[in-house]
Amino acid sequence: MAGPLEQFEIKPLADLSVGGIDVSFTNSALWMVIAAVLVTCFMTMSMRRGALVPGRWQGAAEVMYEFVANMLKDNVGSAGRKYFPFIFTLFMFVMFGNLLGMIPHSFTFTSHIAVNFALALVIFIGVTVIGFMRHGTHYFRMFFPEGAPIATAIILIPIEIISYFSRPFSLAIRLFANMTVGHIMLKVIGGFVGLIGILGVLPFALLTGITVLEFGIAALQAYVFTILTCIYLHDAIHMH
Amino acid sequence: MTEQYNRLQLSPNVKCVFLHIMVDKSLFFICLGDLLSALSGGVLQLDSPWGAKYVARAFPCDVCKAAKAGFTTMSDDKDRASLEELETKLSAVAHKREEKHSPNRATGKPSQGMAIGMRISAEMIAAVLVGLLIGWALDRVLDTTPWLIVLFVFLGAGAGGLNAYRVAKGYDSAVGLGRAMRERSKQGDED
Repeated sequence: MAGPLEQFEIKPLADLSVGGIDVSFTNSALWMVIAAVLVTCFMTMSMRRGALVPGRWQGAAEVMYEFVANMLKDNVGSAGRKYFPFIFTLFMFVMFGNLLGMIPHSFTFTSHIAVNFALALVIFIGVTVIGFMRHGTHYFRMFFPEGAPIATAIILIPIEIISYFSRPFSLAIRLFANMTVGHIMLKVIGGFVGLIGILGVLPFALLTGITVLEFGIAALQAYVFTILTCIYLHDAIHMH
Repeated sequence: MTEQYNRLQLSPNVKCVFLHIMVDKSLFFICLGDLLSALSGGVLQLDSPWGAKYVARAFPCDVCKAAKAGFTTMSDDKDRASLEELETKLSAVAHKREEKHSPNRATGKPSQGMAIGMRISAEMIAAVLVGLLIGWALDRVLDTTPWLIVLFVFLGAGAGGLNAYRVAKGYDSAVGLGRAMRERSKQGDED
């Protein structure tokens, strides 16, 4: 019986090294490629016909598109329209990553903080650049809450700076924690099923419920990841 | 809207069913048989042209007869009382429907509550972590170990508390409690 943490192990599939840095193609990278290819296939193949009355696949693709478009419209407004391709890609990539992780013997790349943090860092840097581009040095006002007494600046500014820099961390940690915890739980409870004989029916029933819950969490966490990106984008564009 | 109802002619051969309709908070009675012939549809069709605000219900025929005598005014005290009761019931139904249609982030599924919980915990952990990191880096640069790391862990905890407060208050309108609360109060203002 494999340990509950073995599923997160990164195994190099093809050793590769560029300038002394290990850039091997790993199982994590493989599943990222699979997710990217599946998203691309899903969107292009289902929209290939572009019928006025959508079929089943086109309907699914349109639901995804409208869901993200509405999320962006509600949280950022019309100014966020030009960032739609990025937000949509992000949502689909994270959601497919989460859902692909639910396939037995697959690899959940979103359960690795390195992957999530890379995504979050791109968002963080992008949002900060957008903020400074739109507002110039005025963007520094983000670090001091409006209406607070000047005397509190010495405490509030460091706190606000830390709070600003904690964004990518909280984005990455949340996704990582949700995915990791869920998969460990599935594995541990799954281990009980075989261990305790006929009583294993009980953990099996529990496992069934948790699996459903995990599917929900997979979609929900992709949603949370994306909506927080939208909110950071809103802050950068409108400054509260 | 109102004119349309008044123009409807009430036929004498009323069967057992009578409709009670709320339009702009006033009560109207329409014979179902007339309505059916007028709209050439069913009770189901009532919902679509007038929206979810208007609630249609079927009544037994003694109410039907009493209402036919005065169309919209009911002189009988007993009937009036039952009418008022009905009105409260109807508005409760209408209110329930509206609630069902408007998205409510906080009080929906349990997974929503879990999302808020996870968000708050992640927010607090992340802020302390960032404080730790900044303090450690500054200590290394300024050679002041361990004073700045101590200071920044506390500042990080403060930032974490602030962020958690913001999530709970919904200041960033994300998956928080505050947005749902604000939406509810907005609904209250419109009523």
